[in-house]
Amino acid sequence: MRRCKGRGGPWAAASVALVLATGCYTGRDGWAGGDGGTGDTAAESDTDADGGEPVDQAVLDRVGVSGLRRLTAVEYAATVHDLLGVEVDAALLLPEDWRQPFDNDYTTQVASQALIEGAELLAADVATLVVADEALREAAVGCTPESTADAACFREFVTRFGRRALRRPLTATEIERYAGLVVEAEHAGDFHAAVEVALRALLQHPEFLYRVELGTPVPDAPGVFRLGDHELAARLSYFLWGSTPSDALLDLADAGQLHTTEDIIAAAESMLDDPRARARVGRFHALWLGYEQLPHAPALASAMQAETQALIDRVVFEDGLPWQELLRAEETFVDATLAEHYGLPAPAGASAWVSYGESGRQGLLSHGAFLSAMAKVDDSSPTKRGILVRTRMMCQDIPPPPPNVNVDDTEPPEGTCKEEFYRTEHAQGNCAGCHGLMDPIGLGLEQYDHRGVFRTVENDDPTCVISGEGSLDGVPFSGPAELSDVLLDSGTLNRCVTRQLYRFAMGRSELQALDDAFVGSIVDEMGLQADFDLTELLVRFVSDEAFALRREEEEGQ
Amino acid sequence: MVLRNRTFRRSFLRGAAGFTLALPLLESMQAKAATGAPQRYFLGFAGSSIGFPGFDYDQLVPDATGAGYDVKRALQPLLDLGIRDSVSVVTGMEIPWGDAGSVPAGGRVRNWHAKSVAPLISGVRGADDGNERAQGATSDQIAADVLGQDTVHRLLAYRVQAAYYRGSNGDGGDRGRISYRDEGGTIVPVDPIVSPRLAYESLFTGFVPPDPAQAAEALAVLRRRRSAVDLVLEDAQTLIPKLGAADRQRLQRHFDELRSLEQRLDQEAPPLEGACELLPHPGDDPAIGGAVENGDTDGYAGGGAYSNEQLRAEILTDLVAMAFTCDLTRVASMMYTMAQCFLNANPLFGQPSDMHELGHFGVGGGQVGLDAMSDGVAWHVAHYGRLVQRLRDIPDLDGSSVLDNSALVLVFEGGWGYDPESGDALSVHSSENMSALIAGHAGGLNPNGGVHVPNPGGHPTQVINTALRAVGVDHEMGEVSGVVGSLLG
Repeated sequence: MRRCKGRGGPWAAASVALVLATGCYTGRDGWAGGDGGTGDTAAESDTDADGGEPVDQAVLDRVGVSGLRRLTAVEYAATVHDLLGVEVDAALLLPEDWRQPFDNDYTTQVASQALIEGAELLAADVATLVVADEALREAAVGCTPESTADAACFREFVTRFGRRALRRPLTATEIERYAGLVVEAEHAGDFHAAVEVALRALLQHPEFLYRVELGTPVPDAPGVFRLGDHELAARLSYFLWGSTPSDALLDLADAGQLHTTEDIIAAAESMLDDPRARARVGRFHALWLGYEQLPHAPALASAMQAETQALIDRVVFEDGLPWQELLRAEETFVDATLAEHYGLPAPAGASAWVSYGESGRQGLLSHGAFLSAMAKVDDSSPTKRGILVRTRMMCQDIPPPPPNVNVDDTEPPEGTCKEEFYRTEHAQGNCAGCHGLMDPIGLGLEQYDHRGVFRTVENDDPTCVISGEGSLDGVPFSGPAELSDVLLDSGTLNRCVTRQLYRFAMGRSELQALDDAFVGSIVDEMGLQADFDLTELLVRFVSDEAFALRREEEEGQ
Repeated sequence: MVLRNRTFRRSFLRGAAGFTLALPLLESMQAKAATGAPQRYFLGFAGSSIGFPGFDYDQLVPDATGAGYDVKRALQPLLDLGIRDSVSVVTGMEIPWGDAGSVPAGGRVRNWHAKSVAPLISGVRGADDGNERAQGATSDQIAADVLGQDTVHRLLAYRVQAAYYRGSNGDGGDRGRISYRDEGGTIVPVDPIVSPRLAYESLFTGFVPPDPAQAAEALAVLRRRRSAVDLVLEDAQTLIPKLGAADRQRLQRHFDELRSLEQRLDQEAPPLEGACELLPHPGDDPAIGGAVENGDTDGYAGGGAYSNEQLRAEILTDLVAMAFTCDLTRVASMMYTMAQCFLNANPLFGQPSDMHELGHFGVGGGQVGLDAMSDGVAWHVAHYGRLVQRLRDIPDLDGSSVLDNSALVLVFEGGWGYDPESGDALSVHSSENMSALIAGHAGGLNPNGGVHVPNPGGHPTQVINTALRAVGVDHEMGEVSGVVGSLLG
């Protein structure tokens, strides 16, 4: 087996300084105006295509490109739940969503027969469930048909539900076309047969499956468009809720009350009071830090996820504390099993907040959810933990290993302690460049195993004592508490979490200069090391004028 | 079967028992038989190597060459299924490798995992930058361009393994695809259908149950599906011109697929004649299992990293067999397992590890490890073999068997031998000593029945070339030329 020191190569001469600058080694590695809809005509549009509002250059300089985004399986399920009250497992039928680490990167989405037919079957499933259940059916239809083919009630239904499904009012033309489906009621002798067809169609509609943004051209800014109010409502709701706009939000858009900065702030603040915002912020953290799924028995995995969600809920939504408190919390929310797992006092009751006391734990980085992520071969991986911190929390790039390193084969030789192996083998020759960026971080967390259990010796060799001493960019630390403090002081965390939020909001993981300008403008305001309230940051984010603009992509992937 | 004008609606009904509600048939299987039975192409992919670290042999390659070859552990299903005489084994092949900038034709980038897949399925050398996407069209798409023009489905692209089962799960990325098509010089990945239920519903669209009440309901549903899709197509067509260039391209692709669905909905189901029958509905899909980390034997014992792939493979195999039989399609690709497959081996053959880890001492080394690894290979061979067996036993239009008019290939992600990444001489991270299976008799393929043919220094994609030529597709894959000549009659 060849480990990294074994072979010279073009990266052999890379110095640590070069590494930080260039990587560890030098090997290669309107609706033609507005919100009118597809059947739109200029007369029907609610925005004047000719007289778009001008935008300051400073704002234009932070408008990144955006493209057509398909609902993820999770967004799909949330959307049909909010629209119709039904539960579906959309992941069974839709093509899988890639994690980059967020699951909504539209540049990875390619339409296929699998998508079209999966979406058709899902639409059929939902329509069938709704029509078969009297309560769901009545709620969806919203009026009581007085005859088998009650055209007035059916028209009322397609007008109302069409607006909710497509996230904008239907045009008169569209209403006519969908209202024509009432012939299906005549044909089947059943009003709800027509309802079923309309549901099937609207749930396969491209403006349901995709978030289509057209907007109005911004004067003197080729390729830049101002979103219509309904398009902005959808941007807000899918970012803050992961689901479709509520009727109330659509009402605001209908009334032109989602247009000014003040309008948007008010709407966003109201949305953040909704339970969907908690779930969405939780999902952001889970995808970001890699604990959406944990490789443990289901009970342990869900207890860990609940622990982290409880902390996020408390800090961000209940106590209104700075987001940074996620990394400073001195208590954690556990059930008896998880408390025992961590070696903490049992909670009073089924689940409760328990003090960390002198355990050396502090905040989210002490959670099993975080410490389980990126484990390897029945043990923690100092390297992979280092990658997690560098790439996800500091937004730094670490190139993949050089081609002559076998990444599957990192076990220390028989008789060598793991820590010694990492401190000697990985610190030599070609290895040192990259591993020097990663391993010292992970070694500082080594007293916590891949399930987050505290230890002082190696799991499979009690003669190997774990020092738990690590460092980040030369600053020594030991354990999650000290790592949290180092990260908070580093000046990279605030910028990075904002970048990650931006990726999540825009559905694109590859960022460009325009995107960085948006992130930078927010970070400049909040300060690199300052505490911030996450809900305030989210409101600041969505009320930036650039959030209501889009820049057209010139060509697809 | 020619795509019909959408105004031409179903003029007859036919039940599973051949119960005719209305006539006439427009294009019977007998009529097709007059022009010769159709040729079918199948590609199976196994995300596994076939050797074990430290061993200079595997349990797939027979000792004897030619017909009646000896069967070792990894090929045991061929004997169990009684199909050895129909399946040839081509061995001793390799995919060349090189570093970025000097990857040879048809080669892979040094840096093992999943880098062999792109050249294997496309014949075009892998990308320099380490992405694992095929750089050329794949054989199922190329075959479908020739064979898939007159069938309801141009091709079936299926995957058995439901999720990646590692890390945040769900995301196999390029490791979960083996089908790519060439859209005017741009190579576009094609997502497989993974849900057996979706595969069934898609394939048997238009088939009508024999029970009159069920038949009426099925027709009513078909009518609703058409009405809905018609409306959506019109809406999409209106929307496309309003989009920017990139979005227009994205939605056009969506529209094209939707149009294909509309055309499928407008076609008549083939007559239920001979062996063509409506299979029973497979029911709801098995739930998708969660991720398991390496070495977590409790996780494997507890059924993680598993979504009943055994059942999924059986259903999808039955669907391919029936699709070929009914001439619903003439081309199918089946990704049994993803590249670097983390599927739980415990429910499949009682090894509490995943397929990938079996090759890394997941259940031990030495003979135990080699046997476990071979059992993983055999699991793929068994499902491929079951398809071969089914097709052998199904009479075709011309009185021969469907297998007589088919060419079916099974390829593996890796072989064993030198690993330029680690420098190990006997590694599973190697594209040396690669083998492939090829079955069927289309175009005189396998004139001597199932044989063992060493193809030393050959490229495994040559086996794909051989199958394509057998089914009359005049194409050699990407940068890989040549066929295994002795297998062509």
